Amino acid sequence: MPNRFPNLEASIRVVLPRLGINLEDLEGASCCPAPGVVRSFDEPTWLALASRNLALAEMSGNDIITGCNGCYGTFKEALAEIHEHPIRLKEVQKIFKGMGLKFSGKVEARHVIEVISELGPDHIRNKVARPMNGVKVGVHYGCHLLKPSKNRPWKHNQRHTFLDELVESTGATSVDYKDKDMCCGAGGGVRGSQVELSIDIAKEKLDNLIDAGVDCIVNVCSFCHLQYETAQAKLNEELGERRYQIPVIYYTQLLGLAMGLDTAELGLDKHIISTRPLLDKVLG
Amino acid sequence: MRNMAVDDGLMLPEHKKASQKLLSTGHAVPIDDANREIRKDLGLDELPPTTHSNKKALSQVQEIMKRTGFKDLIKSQKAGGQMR
Repeated sequence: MPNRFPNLEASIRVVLPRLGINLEDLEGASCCPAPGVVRSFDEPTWLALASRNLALAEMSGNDIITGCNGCYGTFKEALAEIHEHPIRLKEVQKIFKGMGLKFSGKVEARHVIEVISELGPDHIRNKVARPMNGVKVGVHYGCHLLKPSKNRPWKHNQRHTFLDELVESTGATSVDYKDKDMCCGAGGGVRGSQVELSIDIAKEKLDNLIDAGVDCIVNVCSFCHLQYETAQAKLNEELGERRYQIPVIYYTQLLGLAMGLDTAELGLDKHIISTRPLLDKVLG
Repeated sequence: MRNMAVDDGLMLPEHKKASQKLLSTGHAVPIDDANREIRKDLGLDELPPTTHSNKKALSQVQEIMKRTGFKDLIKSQKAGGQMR
């Protein structure tokens, strides 16, 4: 997120403190690393690098928080691996020997939307100064946020509603659409190596969102965000027309907008697909 | 399965490239000039507080990848994802 979507990062940094959540930078962090890529190349390297990031949080006395589903998946699954198989923790500790890294796995990994969700829709509703009335939102949860269910904190295993409820607490309407729970098409290393296939999957979702008449997509993952932004631009280029113009918004951008915050501060002017149609509807 | 393929030297060029970036910067997707500018415009530090702005942290990450054998594994991949 900090390397490709600093505008989403800015919205998290601006909104969370206003909800009473204080953030501290994880100094010296590396790539999580990506579960669908590095984990699939060499699992022990993935576990060691994920554990190093977790160790940095553990040594600072904080939990780790991320705004990306992929990072969330990596940290949740790395912790599950070392908790379920203590020998893996020993392997990691052996790799860390002499590096000044202390790691016991006693740290939690949280997603930005998980922390906001715990505050509850009522708490969010009370923060709204500019209700998003009349805004039709297509919610995209993203795969790693929800799966594997046994290692996620959500109330349900499927047919999730927590993000829809948080969207609706801003005054917007979460619109149902076909294949809502389908992957954005980016994960699993697909976007990285098979771009055409990846865009085909995104196209299917985008067509369904257009059919549902949404004003914007709301997501909580920097990789899903990248996929929806860049796939629309690519599809328009291929078609030679501007069929795909759905603004792609991160949840804290929507919430910040509803809280009455400045659009530039929320990075809403730094998108690949213009957010102007949405902003015109909201701001008039 | 992909772990086994990579172990056999069968890695897609794009995946090898991402791995090389991870080895050299600590990020599979490193910062670029455009996003440095956007960070500045947004009032954020030009470089995030990651391995991008901390040489000691980057060295540590690189040492971990050396110890796990990842550095040698990526070096041993043949161009074009061909089997060794």
